[in-house]
Amino acid sequence: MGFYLYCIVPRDHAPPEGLTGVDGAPVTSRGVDRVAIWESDLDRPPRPDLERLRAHDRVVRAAFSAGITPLPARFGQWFPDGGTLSSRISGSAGLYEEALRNIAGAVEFGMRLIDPAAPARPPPPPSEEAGAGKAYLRQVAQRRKGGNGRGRELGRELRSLVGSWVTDTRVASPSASGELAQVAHLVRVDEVDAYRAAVGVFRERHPDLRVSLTGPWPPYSFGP
Amino acid sequence: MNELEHLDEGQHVALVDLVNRLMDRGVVVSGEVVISVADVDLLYLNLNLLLSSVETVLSPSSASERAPEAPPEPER
Repeated sequence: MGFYLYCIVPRDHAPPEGLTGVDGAPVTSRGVDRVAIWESDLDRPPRPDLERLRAHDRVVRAAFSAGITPLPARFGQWFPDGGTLSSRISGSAGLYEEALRNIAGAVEFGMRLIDPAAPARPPPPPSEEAGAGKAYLRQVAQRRKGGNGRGRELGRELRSLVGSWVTDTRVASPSASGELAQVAHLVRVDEVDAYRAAVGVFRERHPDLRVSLTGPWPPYSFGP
Repeated sequence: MNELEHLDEGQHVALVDLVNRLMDRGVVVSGEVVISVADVDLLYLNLNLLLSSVETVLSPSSASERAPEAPPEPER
């Protein structure tokens, strides 16, 4: 009988009656130090599949409440006994408390800026000739550098438009060819409409770009 | 996973974002994630077979081991 962690929330914030999570397991809360955790009793670490990922995310989303935003755990946090989980949480309780304050009343949006004109695939891998590998890497670096330069410029413009509505940002490395930038924005719930409108302005200014906005998400990107 | 065959682009991106967030972000309490590398590979392989954009699904590092040359964590 192990313990599977979904999220960290303010002390005394309990799940709604009957909430179930991964593999249909009931979700319960437990106070640890100055925070609380939402967890399920699970026999073993759950294997990641789409259904379980969605179940985990659903539990985290159920933890949103007026003025309360949960701090999501990464998928897969399983502990063989409650004591181990508690002591690990206690060990960083101050950090979690601070993170909960920072994210309170906010949600995450993810944005990708994609240049559809960029090649869909990276350059083909080098042949087995001597020096070809080095030349290939130089090519990839060159392409990335060029893309990132534009990405940074666009990032600045984006910040000038949405900055008023974004309380925190995390920048991720672009993960695909043609992707100029990938960011996570933390936005207060009552400023979401203004934020979306500002993103709309950015889109209008750059009809050549694909601006992919997903969310709202629980703030997976804004942990301590 | 038949549902994945008929995703529009927006749904496709949202799915990739879901997987990236749950597998690669979120608080790690213990300093390690108790999922085997094989299970993570299998997850991405299964999604990969049904999603058209190979690169965006394959880029995250594995959940249970993080080699130094893995993609950096989201940074401020």
